[in-house]
Amino acid sequence: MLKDIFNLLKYEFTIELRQVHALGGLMLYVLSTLFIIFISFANVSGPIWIILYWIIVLFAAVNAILKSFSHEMGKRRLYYFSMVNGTSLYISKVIYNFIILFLLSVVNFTIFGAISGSPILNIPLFVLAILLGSLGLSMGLTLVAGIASQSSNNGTMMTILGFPIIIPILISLVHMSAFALQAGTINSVGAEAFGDIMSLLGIILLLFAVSVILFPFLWKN
Amino acid sequence: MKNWWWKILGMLLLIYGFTAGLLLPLKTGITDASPFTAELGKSLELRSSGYNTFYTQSNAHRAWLKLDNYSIPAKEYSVSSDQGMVLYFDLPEKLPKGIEERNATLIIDNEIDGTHLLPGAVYLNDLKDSISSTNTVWSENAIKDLNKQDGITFPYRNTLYETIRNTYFHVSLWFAMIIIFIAGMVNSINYLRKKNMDYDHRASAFTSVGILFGILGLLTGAVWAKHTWGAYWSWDIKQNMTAISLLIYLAYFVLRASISDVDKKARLASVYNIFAFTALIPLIYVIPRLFSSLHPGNGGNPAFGSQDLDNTMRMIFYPIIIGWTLFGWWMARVRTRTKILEEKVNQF
Repeated sequence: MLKDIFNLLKYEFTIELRQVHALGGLMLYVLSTLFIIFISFANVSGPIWIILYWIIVLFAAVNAILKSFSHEMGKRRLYYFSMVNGTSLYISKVIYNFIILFLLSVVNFTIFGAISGSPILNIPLFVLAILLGSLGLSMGLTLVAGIASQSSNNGTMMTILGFPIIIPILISLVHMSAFALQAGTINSVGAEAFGDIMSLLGIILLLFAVSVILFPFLWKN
Repeated sequence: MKNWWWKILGMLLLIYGFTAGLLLPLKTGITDASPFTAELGKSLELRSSGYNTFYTQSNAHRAWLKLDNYSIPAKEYSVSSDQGMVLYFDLPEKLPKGIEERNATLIIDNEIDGTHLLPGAVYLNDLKDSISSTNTVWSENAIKDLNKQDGITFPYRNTLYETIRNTYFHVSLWFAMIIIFIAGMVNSINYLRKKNMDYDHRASAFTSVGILFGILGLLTGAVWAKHTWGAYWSWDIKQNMTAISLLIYLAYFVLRASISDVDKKARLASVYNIFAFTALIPLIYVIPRLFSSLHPGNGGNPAFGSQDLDNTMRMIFYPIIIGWTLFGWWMARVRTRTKILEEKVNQF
């Protein structure tokens, strides 16, 4: 199974590197959203900065994750189905989405910070938030993308099904990132931020456990 | 009788809950007392308004102003109506030794209405002109032989008043909703395991009844919020999270409507239903604890603390939860049968 996951990931990245336009498109998407925000808001204060940051990441994540299933429709899906089981496919998708989202979030953070000046003082904590955020978003949205990609009108379905489910993660992320507005190291954050981290981890584990069980049912007809 | 006893039971429990919940009176209480501030060392004429009281029927009223363990009795009183009483106090010159609290509790007691009180009724200011016109002193642990009100009553709470009855509707609807959603999820699990279409019909029927209960719970909650918090919707974290959880389940029906193939619809909807219920747990039980909320039971029990219910309320609250659940179960069963019939009609 580990070998399957590894092979699928390798294959996923080979395709990604061959079709650079898809990943480049996502980056452009983030960039243009950022520019719209800077034109609209001349000056962004700390808490607003964090909310905008996560909203951009959320929209990018919805696009990126939905795209990850676009190859797997039709005949290729049948081929996959005969080769690997649902669980390894799901895990490879989650890892792949996590890596893409992490890259997107870091790029977003760098550009956002470079243009508007980052209000984040506790960078290790914020990086942890990015890590947990990309993990949580990919856990929460991968299964939903699997459902949405099988229904008609999948772009709309993705947002309808995904947004309400992702809200607990998003709220915890915004709440947790707010602590990164104060200077400090990752060890110096208070019990409150620690509570956020724990609840995020809890939600992520919960969603992961359920998704791993459910994905095979989604996969086979 | 074998198959429908539970329907009758559910209806009886609901009728019992509605009649008892709406008709039983509240305990006596004091709605307000004026003036709100008083000067230590002076006489105080305090007008208090009772709630559900029958002051004219008793001639043995007793009243105290109480600070922690210390109290002073009322010098005299005059009853103006069943709900109105004027109390005369001679306030001592100083606060009791070692007491910082200045909000005195007003306690009234008689044999008809029992003991009723208003916390923080009078704020005691220091003596201004240093000439005291009274010579009373605080006495410790002097409030004794209190009466108890007869009859079955609900607790009286300031700011809640009669809306305390909403516990039987708002809170119980939410309990029933969770039970119904769990039933829907169990049916979804069964569908995925056994691939029998009946389970899917049942899952969607249970979920639609759950949404109905959820909307009713949200509406009763909004009415309650209007009376206690001042607005139907105050963007409280719990209100937002419940609205979002309803969105999750509405999305379930949008998903069902968007797929035409019957088996695929059942499969995707079942997967989403199980996933949605899991996502509901952090929404309702985890996130509200991270934020301050107006809703009771913050930081501990998600709905309310154990001190918010007394035994009389429990006697109605628990039965009506079972009543709503059985009623919802019945509705879901009917909905399942109509769905199966609809499908048969569509096949022709």
